[in-house]
Amino acid sequence: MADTVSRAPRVGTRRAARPPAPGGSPRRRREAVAGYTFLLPWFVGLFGITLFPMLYSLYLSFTDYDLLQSPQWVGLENYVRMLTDDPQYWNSVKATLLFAVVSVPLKLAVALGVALLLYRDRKGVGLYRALFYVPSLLGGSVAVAIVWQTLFGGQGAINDILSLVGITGRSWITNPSTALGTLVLLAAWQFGAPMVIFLAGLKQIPAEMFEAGSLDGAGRFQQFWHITLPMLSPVLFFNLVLETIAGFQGFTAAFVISGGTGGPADSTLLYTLYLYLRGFGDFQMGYASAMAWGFLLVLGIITAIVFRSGSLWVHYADEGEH
Amino acid sequence: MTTPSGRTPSRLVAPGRRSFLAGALGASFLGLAACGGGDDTASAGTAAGAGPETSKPVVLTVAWWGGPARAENTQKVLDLYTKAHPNVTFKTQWQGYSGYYDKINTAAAGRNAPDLIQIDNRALREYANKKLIAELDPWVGKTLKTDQIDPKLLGTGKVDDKLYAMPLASNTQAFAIDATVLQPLDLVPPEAGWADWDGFATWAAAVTKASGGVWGTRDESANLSWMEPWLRQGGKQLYDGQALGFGEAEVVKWFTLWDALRKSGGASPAEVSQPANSGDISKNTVTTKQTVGSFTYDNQLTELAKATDHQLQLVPLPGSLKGNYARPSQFFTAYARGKNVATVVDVINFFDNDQGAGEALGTERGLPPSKAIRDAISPTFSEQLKYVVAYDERVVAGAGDTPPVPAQGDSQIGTLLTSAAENVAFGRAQIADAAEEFVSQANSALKRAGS
Repeated sequence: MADTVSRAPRVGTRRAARPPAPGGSPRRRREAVAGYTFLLPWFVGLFGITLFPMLYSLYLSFTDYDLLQSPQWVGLENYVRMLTDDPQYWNSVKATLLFAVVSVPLKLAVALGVALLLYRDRKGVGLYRALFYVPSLLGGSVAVAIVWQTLFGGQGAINDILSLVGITGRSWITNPSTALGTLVLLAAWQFGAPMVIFLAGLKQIPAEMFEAGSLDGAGRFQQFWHITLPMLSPVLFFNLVLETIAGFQGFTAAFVISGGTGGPADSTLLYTLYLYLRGFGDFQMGYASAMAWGFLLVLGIITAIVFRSGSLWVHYADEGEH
Repeated sequence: MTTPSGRTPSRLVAPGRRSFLAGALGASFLGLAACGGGDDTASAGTAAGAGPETSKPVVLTVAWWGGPARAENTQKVLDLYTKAHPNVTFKTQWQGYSGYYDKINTAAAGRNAPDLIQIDNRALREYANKKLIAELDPWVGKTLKTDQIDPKLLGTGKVDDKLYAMPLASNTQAFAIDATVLQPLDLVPPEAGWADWDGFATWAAAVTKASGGVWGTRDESANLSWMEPWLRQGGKQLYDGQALGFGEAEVVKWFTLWDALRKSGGASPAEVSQPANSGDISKNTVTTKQTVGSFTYDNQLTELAKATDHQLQLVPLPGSLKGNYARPSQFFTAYARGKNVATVVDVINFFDNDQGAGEALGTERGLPPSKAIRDAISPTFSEQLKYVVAYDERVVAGAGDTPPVPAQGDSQIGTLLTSAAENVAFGRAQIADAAEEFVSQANSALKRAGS
């Protein structure tokens, strides 16, 4: 949201002159005007940069649009083709599901694990927290993806290390059975953001609970299972929702590591990458728009399911004593 | 869409003269631009054969794919042009082949493509039909000199008899081999290559065995460009109009051929071959020393030789020379919505018809398209360039006819073949299934692209 502030509110004053509906004293009206004026940059952003392009893409999804000539209305054709006549589409769905289903839990587990190691105040712990966070800052960058490509290449460092212990490596990124795995690892390595949130969550758990637990003879694992996890579940839930959405939207790493192809054999053809290739590589922006709306729909459903499931396992401390 | 550019010259003044245009044309230009994605906005920039002469500073963006050698040569030519026309300067964008068109397309979608775009015949029909590139006929004989260019080669830049693209160079298919590895093994093939694919397969397997770990050839099954000469040897063509010129049977044969080569050890395994399937010359397995040979174009010897300390040679592809053809290696085209199309055409002409430019380019892009230039500069060539010229002339003399511009949607066919071939090579699909899916997908993609 922060960047909306920097978007210049050029239309500002003129628009704001229109008095808002709520009546009352002139002073209240002035305040309302001021309020809406301050909101204006955000509205401009919402309508101009988010809502209008979104609705336009909805329109495009029912057209044959090649980017250069006017869109031609084709009705549901794009959606029908997507679901019934495009094996590559289903390859991309498979790759994306696999990527998300493996990388999200893995990333959360790593983030939680590291957070548990780092949440007690020890000497120099701040430095470690910062260091573990660094990969997330670099995460989306092309440079890291290129490093990854080199590390896992046929003549890369990973194979050099493996050969030290007598394992003959393979070219991880050019083999369809391991290529997606390297992307999952890269995603899991960028666990910094959920880790920081877990750290904050862990600090919220009252120390008395652990004291009481250990007095009752609970071991470390029992404490984790019966105290830490339930107390942390709202934070876990929050991370799960965010990371699921992010996981499905993975693009940069797949694009860079596969050289923009989604190869080998479509194994890293993540949904958004395929969408990009169709839209900009093959001039099928109508089809790409249909893919985007299909994606939005499915992602919405998945998020809704995650939310619903929350009532089963998320424990809110302020729900009172049951 | 209907009126081809240049038919209404009277309406417009010399383009490129921005000073002139600014006031008079500004309004109509805006009007045209407002028409949006539709019609013939191109004509604003492509009025009839006007000269490039303009004293206003012009900055042109030039885009091409290629390696460092090409970047160096191209920059030299652009500098020469700027020296002759100090008001014209250039911004350059270059990258590897993979992803190149995505980038151009994305820029074009934003109405912001480079002024001067290098393309190959795979994109020509698409770009011409979508009016992304300007028709060049109005300049022919004036700014653009084509009389020194072989009509057959020039013809490869035409779509529906209209010239859209100027060949920058011509090349032909070749098999590049690492002589440094082969000589001690005594396995250097004869200059004429192999009479048939069986001989090639035997040789490749022998090389892998003798070299101990360097494969005889890269597995080329995923590349449509290398399937094409093989198809032609069997009397088929890549395309029959807007449909495939071959069927499942040929695909099965092609995949089986490479499958046998992989199994005999002659061809590199899939995970070694895969990175170069995207067409990037920097991933070439001969320069990475993973294979002794790889299919290539003869002009690419310059770039390949630059990337390795080994001695490289060229032999023809296995089988009959009739599979080969003299091919336009790249074209230069003018972005139809560019503001200085006339100047762009003059730069294109400079690349093709200026002797200094010819000398700077050598044969890195292929043989110079202009006969006069070729004759004038050949004596100045280095040994390596002379070697390429000799190879090209030898092979083209026995080569088959140059096929028409590929069907619209050709790049999708290339992607589909790569995907099918990779699935086979990695053992994820049976040959018959992969071939069937490829043919059905390819035909529906072609139908869609052509509609």
